[in-house]
Amino acid sequence: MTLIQRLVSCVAATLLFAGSLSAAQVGASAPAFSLVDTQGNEHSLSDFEGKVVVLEWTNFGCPFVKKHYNSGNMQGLQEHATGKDVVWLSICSSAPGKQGNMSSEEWSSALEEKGSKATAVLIDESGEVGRAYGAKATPHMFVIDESGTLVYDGAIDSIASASPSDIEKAENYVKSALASLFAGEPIETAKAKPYGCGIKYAQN
Amino acid sequence: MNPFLRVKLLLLAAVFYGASVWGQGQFSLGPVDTGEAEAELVADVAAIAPGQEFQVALRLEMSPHWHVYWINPGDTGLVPEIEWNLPEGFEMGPLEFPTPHRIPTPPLVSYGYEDEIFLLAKVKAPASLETGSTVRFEGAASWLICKEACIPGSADLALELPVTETGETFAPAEYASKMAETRDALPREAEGGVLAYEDLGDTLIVTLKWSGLQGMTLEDPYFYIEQEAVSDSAKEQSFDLNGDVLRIGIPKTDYFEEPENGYSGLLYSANGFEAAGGVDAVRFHVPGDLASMGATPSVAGEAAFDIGFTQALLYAFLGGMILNLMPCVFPVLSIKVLGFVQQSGEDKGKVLKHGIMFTIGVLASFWLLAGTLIALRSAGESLGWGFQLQQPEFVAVMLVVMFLFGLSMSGVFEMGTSAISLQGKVKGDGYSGSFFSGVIATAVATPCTGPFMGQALGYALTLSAFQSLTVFTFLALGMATPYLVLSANPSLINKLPRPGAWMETFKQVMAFPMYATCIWLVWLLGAHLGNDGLVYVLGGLLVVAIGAWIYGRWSTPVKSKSTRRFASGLALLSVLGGIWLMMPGEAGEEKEEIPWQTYSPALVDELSTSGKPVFIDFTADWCLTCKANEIRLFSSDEVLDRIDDGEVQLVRGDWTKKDSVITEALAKYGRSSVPLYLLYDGDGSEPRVLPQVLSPSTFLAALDEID
Repeated sequence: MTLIQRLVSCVAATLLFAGSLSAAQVGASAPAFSLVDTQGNEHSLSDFEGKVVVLEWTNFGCPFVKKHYNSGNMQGLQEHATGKDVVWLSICSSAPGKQGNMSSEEWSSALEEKGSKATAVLIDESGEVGRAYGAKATPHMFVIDESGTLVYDGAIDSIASASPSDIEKAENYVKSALASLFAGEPIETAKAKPYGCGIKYAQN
Repeated sequence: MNPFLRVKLLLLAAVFYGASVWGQGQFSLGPVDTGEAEAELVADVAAIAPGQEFQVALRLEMSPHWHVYWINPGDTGLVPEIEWNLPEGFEMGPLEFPTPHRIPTPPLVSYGYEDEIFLLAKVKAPASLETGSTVRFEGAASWLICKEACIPGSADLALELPVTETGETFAPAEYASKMAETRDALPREAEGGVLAYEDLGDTLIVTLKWSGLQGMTLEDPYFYIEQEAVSDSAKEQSFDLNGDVLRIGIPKTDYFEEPENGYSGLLYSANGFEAAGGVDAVRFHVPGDLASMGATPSVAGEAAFDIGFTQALLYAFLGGMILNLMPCVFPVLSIKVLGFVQQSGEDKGKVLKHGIMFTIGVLASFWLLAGTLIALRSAGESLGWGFQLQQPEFVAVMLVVMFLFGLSMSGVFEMGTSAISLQGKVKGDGYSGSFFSGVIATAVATPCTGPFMGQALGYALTLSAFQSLTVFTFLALGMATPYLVLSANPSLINKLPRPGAWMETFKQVMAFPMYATCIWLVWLLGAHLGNDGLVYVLGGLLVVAIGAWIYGRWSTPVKSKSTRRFASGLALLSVLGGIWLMMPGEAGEEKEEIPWQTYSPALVDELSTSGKPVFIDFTADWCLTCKANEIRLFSSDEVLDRIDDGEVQLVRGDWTKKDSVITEALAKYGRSSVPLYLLYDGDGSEPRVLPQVLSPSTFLAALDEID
């Protein structure tokens, strides 16, 4: 690159106001996305305008996800939420060939076996949506309010462990966030470091 | 609860819950293979003597590429734990963790270990131990082990050791030498090392001061913070070593929580720390209870303004003196004193009294300033220089102000004449006049923060109220001293250099400390905004400089009134634009992704007959016109709406790097450069070429023509 080209691109960069990548932030608009679910149907965040949306990053091979599914905790939470007209989207960002990545047949049998009550399970093989939200672990939970603002980002509950016996002792942050949201009160814990397995992102 | 009682209780629990965890016999001697790791309890002695101190360790030997975690696992993970069941009378220390490694699985980074590790613990046998017996240690170990997948592992482990008179046996313990190696390599406390921190919003600035750092060159340094939910393990840290003081910029996690008991962490350097016996990591921590050190807010301050109290007083005094030399104050220095002389009719005593009244005026106004700041601070307002520096917005504005001062001093434009005339307006007679002159002088001078002063002020605000007042007092005294000295010896005025050409030179020279301050502020902003953000900051300064130049060039009294007014407006807009450009966050506004498809002739062939219009944008990152067009085009809501509605398909040919396919496509339309915009009707016909300067309306009009 010649010096002139470098200078020009430098000036152009200062003129560009878009493009700086920042992860989702509590209090800001939740990043928009469109993903295809395990059945092949496309869902966009904008389809659910005016509704509360819970995003759950998942990977059925992860022991922390197993902790919450095998105990029925996650399904209970999903049922509780969808019963209140909340949209629950489970998202899998595992890259092809990595743990958690499954074919649609594998997904349907796994979902049936787990008894998932999610509104839809979305596939994010490229990891684009996961990276946009800064999703780190499975499970990693996000709550988006009716206005499309991200109001919770973090762990599913307050005890970081793989042991199902801790579920009862822990405060479920998603449940608390939803309760506060519906009561019109501020969300006490709006962020908590997520715990679980690292998401098996595509490496580029 | 003493350890003895605790062990007894545990044994009691073991009896009650015999069938569960603590049941004897479930704890295995020797290595347990859990699949991904082999776990074992080992000791560095083969036998123990009564009263002896020795070490036990949880040995984990992991299969290739599997890892377990450090006490702070980083982005994900859990720390290994062990629940001990000790023989009666034994005392045991906590598990000690070796220096971890960073284990990247982009975009995540964990802190942990691979291969074989020994998590050591010191043990002391009771002196009353009977020789000839055997003691048994039991530990329920649990850990999380991950490669790509994660598996929680656990093992109930036991270790039996014979008790002998001397603790000696024929053969040494199997892992004695490896355990000794591990212990030798454990991170050591940085003796006399101090850790202070400063919270800059997105970044934590940790300052380490330790004699062992003097003269060192850090190799591949890293600071492992022990507390979870503090540092973003996936982001780069920055290091700045100056003598024995190391400043580290640590990006905070999105889940940042201030630890209750302060921070601690390991400073790693690949070349090892000579002053700590060559280990590759030394440990720093904030000792004890912060409140008892009286350091609650000053922890932040000390790091930013690493100067002692006496030094702060000196700086304050010097800073105050230098204030007088600032162009906005200096010309009035001798005028003022000459005024005292005139008013007093050459009566030396009266001149001095005027000087003292002036000094009291300066003092009173500085005290008022300090008092207000202190009162606000104690009322819970995070006010004051040191605190404001945590706000990137504030730093950016500070930077612009300092930069403008510098430019003004360099002669790009003139400033400060109005401040001097303000001072000239106070013509109070008598001593009260002198007092208010002091007040006005302070009011005029405070915006002219000179070198030294900012540092002293910032430090002052981190101190107790009384100490802050003292610093402010010295600042005031520094400023008033020249007046006092001159009014005590009015004849000295004749020796004072007359305001003249030399002042211009002095003023220009003083611009450089201002630019130096700018460098510091840019550095601070860098901690907030990162490398990319700095492009905006420096670009913003460029725009500010242009604004200042416009003001200096066309807003002088020789120009016509309308020219001046227009130039001033334009200059103000430029400065505001520059500030806007620098503001963090604004630049990063989330924009909806535009669904570009990558250009290929095949794709275009297919799309051009699909029935829908196709817009092709041949562009390159270095093409300014292209970028300007794109920004204009895709910031138009109307255009975005049409794209959202799926009315037009977008294809982009990126020519940033050499690409023969695109070169060929350009040649087809007689072009050898970008931008080139093509619009296909979608019915298989040839595309139309849109103008090189493409506005949203042209684009929309072209689209409408198709419909």
